[in-house]
Amino acid sequence: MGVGAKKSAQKQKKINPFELKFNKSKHDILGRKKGAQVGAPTASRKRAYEQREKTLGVEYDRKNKISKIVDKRLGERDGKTEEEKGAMRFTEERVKNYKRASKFNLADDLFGEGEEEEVLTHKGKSLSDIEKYDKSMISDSDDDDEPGNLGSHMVKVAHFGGGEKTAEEHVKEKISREDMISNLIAKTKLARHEKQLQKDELELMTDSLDAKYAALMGKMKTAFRPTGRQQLEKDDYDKLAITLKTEADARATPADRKLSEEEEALKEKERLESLEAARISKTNASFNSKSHLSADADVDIDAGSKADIRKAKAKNARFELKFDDEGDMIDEDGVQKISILKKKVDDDSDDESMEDEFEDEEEDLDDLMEDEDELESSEDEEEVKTSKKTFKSVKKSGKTDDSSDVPFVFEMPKNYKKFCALLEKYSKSMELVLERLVKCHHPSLKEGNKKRLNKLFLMCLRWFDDMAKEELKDQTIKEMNLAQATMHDLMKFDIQYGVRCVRALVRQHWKGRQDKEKKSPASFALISAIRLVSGLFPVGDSWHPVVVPAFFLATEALCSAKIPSLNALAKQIQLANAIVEYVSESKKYVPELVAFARSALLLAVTEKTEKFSTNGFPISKPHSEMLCVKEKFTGPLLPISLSSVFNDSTVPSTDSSMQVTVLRALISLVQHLRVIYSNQNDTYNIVFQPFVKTLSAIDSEFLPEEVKEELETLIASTKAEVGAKRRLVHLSLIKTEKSMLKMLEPRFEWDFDPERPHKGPKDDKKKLTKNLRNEQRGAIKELRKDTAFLARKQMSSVKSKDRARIAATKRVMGGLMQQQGEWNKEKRTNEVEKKKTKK
Amino acid sequence: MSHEYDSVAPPNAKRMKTDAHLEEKKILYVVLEGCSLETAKVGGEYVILSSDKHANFLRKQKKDPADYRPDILHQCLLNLLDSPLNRAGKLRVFFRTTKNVLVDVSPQCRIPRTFDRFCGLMVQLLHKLSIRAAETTQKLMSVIKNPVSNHIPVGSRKMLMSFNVPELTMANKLVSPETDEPLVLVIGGIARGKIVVDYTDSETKISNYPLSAALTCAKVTSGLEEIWGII
Repeated sequence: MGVGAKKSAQKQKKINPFELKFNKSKHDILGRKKGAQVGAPTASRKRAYEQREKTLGVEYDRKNKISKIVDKRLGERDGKTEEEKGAMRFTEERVKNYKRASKFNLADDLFGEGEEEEVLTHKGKSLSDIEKYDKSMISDSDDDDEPGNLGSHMVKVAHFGGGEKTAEEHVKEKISREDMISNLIAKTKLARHEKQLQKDELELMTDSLDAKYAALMGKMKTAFRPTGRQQLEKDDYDKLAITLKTEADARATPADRKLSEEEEALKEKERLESLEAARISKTNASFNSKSHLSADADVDIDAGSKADIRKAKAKNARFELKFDDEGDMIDEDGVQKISILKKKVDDDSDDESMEDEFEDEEEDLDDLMEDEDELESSEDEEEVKTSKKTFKSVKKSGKTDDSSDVPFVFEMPKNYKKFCALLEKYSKSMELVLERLVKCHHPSLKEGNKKRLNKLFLMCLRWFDDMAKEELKDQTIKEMNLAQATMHDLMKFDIQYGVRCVRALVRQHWKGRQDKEKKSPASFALISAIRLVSGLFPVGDSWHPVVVPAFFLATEALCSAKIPSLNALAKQIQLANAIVEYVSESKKYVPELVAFARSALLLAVTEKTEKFSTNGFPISKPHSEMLCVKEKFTGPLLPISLSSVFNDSTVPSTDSSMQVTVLRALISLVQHLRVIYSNQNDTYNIVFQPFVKTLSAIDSEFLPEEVKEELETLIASTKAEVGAKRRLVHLSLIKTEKSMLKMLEPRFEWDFDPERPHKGPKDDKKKLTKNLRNEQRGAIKELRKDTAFLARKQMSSVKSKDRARIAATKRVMGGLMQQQGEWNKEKRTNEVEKKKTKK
Repeated sequence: MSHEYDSVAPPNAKRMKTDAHLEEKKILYVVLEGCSLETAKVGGEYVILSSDKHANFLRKQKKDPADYRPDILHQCLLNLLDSPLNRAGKLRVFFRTTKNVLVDVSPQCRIPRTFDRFCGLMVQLLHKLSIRAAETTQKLMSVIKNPVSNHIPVGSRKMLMSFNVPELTMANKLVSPETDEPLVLVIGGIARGKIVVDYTDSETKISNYPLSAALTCAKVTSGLEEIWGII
C-alpha cells in the first residue's frame, strides 16, 4: 500500500479513535522491532470492499453477457491496398484448398479431374490472354562483353523507334537492314579490339616499371643496413648454453660408481698391495741411504736394525708368496721339506678334511683344532722354526713396533702356532693385522680364500679359548675382544662353519662339566664362551643351533655348582649376568636364574624366617651366611674385579669389602631381573613377592650408604610393581563416600537463536505445516468474503429490481385506479342523469 | 526413595506416595526477589542487559544502567547451589525478575561458572522458558507461574531479609534444630533499595551491616548447615 496509504492518511486527517484497534504487547524486549501496535479494521475492510468491487464486481457484472461482432475480413482493418488484400485472399484461398496428396502433382491441375482448372486472372481477364502480348524479357545490363547482347542504343532504336526523328535518323532510315547488321558487327569488333589493346598496354607498362624498380634497388643495395639474421660468432657461454639445452635429457654419468662387493674387495687389496710396495721401497731407500744421513732425517738409533728386520720380513713375505694353492711350499732357499707325519695323517687337501668334518659333526673343538693342526704341521714343521727365529728377533725389537710398520699384505698363517707367532710379532697392532688378514683373503679374490678364512676363524676361536683359560689380565680381555670382533667379521663369510666351530666349543665345555667340574663354579672360560655365543649369534631366537646349547650349558652350570666361597658366588653371579644378557631381549622366564638370585639373596639374611632352602644351588651350612655384612665397611666401592675373582687366590669369606661388592652385584642382578620380567603380568607377583620379603630382611646396618640406597630403591620399585600388578583384591567393607546430590550440566546451545527458540529438523516441518494451515485459513476466509460480497451484490441488485418493479406496479395500479375512479364517477353521473331524465 | 538417586534425592524429585513418611521436612526455600534479568536485542544479538556492557544502549533506551545487574543473581545462584546444604538435598531456589518472570531452579543444576556463559544460558531460559540437562531430559530451570506462594509449602515460616529492621537473628539461629519444618527466606537480588512482597510474615536481618545478596545467601546456607548438622 506504501505511498497510497500515506496519501490517504494525509487526506483523511484523523481516523475516529473508536474505529482503531490497539494491540497489547505481551513481552516487551528492548531493541526489538515491534509490529503494528494500532490497526484500523474498518478502513481495511473498506479497502477490501473497494478492491473486490474493482475485480470481482466487474466480473460479476459481465456474467452471462456474450455479444461481440468479430470482423474476419482479410486485411480490412490494417489499411492495406487493394492488391495486397487480393494477394492475401489468394494465399488464403490456396491454403484452404490445399490437400496433402496434391503436393506430388506436377501439373497445375490442383483440383483433380472433376474440377475446373484454376485460371489466374488480372482485372477480370485471364492472365493467359494477357500474356500473349508479352515479349521475353531482355537483360537490362549494359555488359557488352556478353556476345549476342545488343547495345542499349541499338535496342532503343530497334524496339522503341518512332516518334519525332532527327535528320540523321532520317538518313539512317534509308540504310538497308543488311548494312545495319554489318555495321553493328563491325562496331562490336572494333570495341573488342580496343579493349584488347588497352590490356596489352597496361601489361607492358607494369613490366617496364618492375624493371626500373629492380635497377634502382640494385643501385641502392649498399646504402641500406642489411636485413635478416646474421651469423654471430659463438663464445663459450653460448656453446655451453646450447649443450645444456640439447643435452638436457642426457643422463649424468656418476663420477664415482657404486662398486660391487667383489670389486670393492679387489680395490682394497690393490690399495693394500700398493701401500705395501711403497712401504718396502721406502724401507729399502732408507736402508740404502743409511750411510749418508741428512741432518734433518728423523731416524732412530736402531733404524738400522729395524730396517734389517723389515728386510727380512719383506723377504719372508716374498718367500711366503711362493706357496701354491695346495699349501705346498716351494722353497727358494733350498731348505729341505721335512714331512713329519703324526699318527693319523690326513694328507689330502683341505677339501677332504672339510668333508670329513661335515660327516661326523659331533666333535670337540680340540678335535677340530687337532685336525687342522695335523694338516698344517705336516707341511710346516720347518716353517715353525723359521717363524720361531723371527719371533725371537721380533721379541727383541718387537716393543718398538708400531702400526705404521705393519705390512699391508699378509699371507694366511698355516697353523695355529704360526698364527700365534704372527700376533705376537705385531702384538701392538693385532687389530690391524687381523683386519688386513681378513681383507687380503676376501673370498671373491681367490679360489680357496674361503677355506683360509675358515681356518682363520677356527684359529681365532682357539686363540680366544686359550686366552680364556690363561691367567686373567687386562691384555687378555682386550685380545679376547679382538678375537671376538674378528670372528664376528669372519662369520659373514661362512656362517655354517662358524656355527660348527662354536658348537664344538660349547660341546667341549659341556663334556667338561659332565664329569670333573660338575660341582665347581663357572670358570672364566665358560663365561667367556657363553658371552662369545651371545656376541656372535642372535640370542633372541627361540631356537638356534648354538645359542640353545650354550644356554643350557649356562643354566646347568648355574644351578649345579656348589658355592663354597664368596669367590665362587661372584663367579656364579657373573654367569648369571651372562644369562641375563641372553634373555634380556626375548624376556624368557628362566627359573634357574630366579632361583639362583633368591638363594643368593638368602645368603645375606641373618635371621631366616622360613626354613632355609636353597633350591637355586646346593650349599652347605657354614657358608649359608657368607653375605651377611657384620662390620662396617669403609672404602671405595668397586665393581667385582674379574682378575681377583678368577685368579685362584681364595679370599676369606669374611672380607667385608668383597661381601659388599658381591652383594651389590647381586642387587643389580635382581634389579635386572625385575626390569626384564616386568612385562609378565600374570606371574610377576608370584615371582617377585618373595624377593621383596628377602630384600627387606637384609640387614643393612653395616652396609655403605650407596649400597643401602640401591637396596632401598630396589625394594621400593619391586614393591610398587608388585602392588600395581596385584590381581587378587581381598573383600573389605566399601568405604562410603559422602552421599550428595548429583549435579547436572545444563544443555547449552551454542547457536541459540531467540527468534526461533525451538529450532531443529522437527521445527522446520512444524513451521511449514503451520504456514500451510495459516495460508489455508486465509484462503478460506478470502473465499468466504468473496462469496459474501457476491451474495450482497446479488441481493442488492435483486432488491433494486424489486423496488423498480414495485414502483412500476404501483404506478400502473395508480393509473388504473384513477381510471377506474373516473369511470365510476362518470358512471355515477350518468346514473344520476338517467334518473333525472326518468323523472 | 526412587532408584534413580543412589545418593541424595533432590527435594523436588517425584516420589511414590508410600514414601510420604520419608519426606524431608527440613528444607530451606530461597526466593531471590527483584533480580534484574532482562533480554534485549543489542546489535542484532539477544543478550542479558548488563550495566557495564550495555550502558550506552540502556541510556539510549532511557533506562538507568545501574538497575541492570545480572551478576548479582549469578553470584547468588553460585553460592546457593554450590553450598553443602544444596548438595545434601535441603535447598530449593526460586528467583523472580523485575519483569515478573518466576523461575524454579532445580537443585541439580550446575550453574555456569563464567558470567558470559551464565548470560547465554539465561537468554536461552527466557526465550525457551526451560533449560534441560545436557545428557538427560531433566529440567534444570523452568519458568513457572506466578505467584511464588503457590510453589512454597503452605504454612511455612516466610522471612524477608532486610537491613532496615530492628530485629536481628543470627544465621545459625534462624530455626531451632528440633523443629521439623521448612523455612522460606526471601532475599533481594538487588544492588540497593528494598523489596516489598506480600507473602512474607516477618522481616529480619542476619547482620548489623548491609550485606550483599550473595553474601546473605552464603551466610544463610552456612547457618542452616550448622543448624541441621550438614558438615
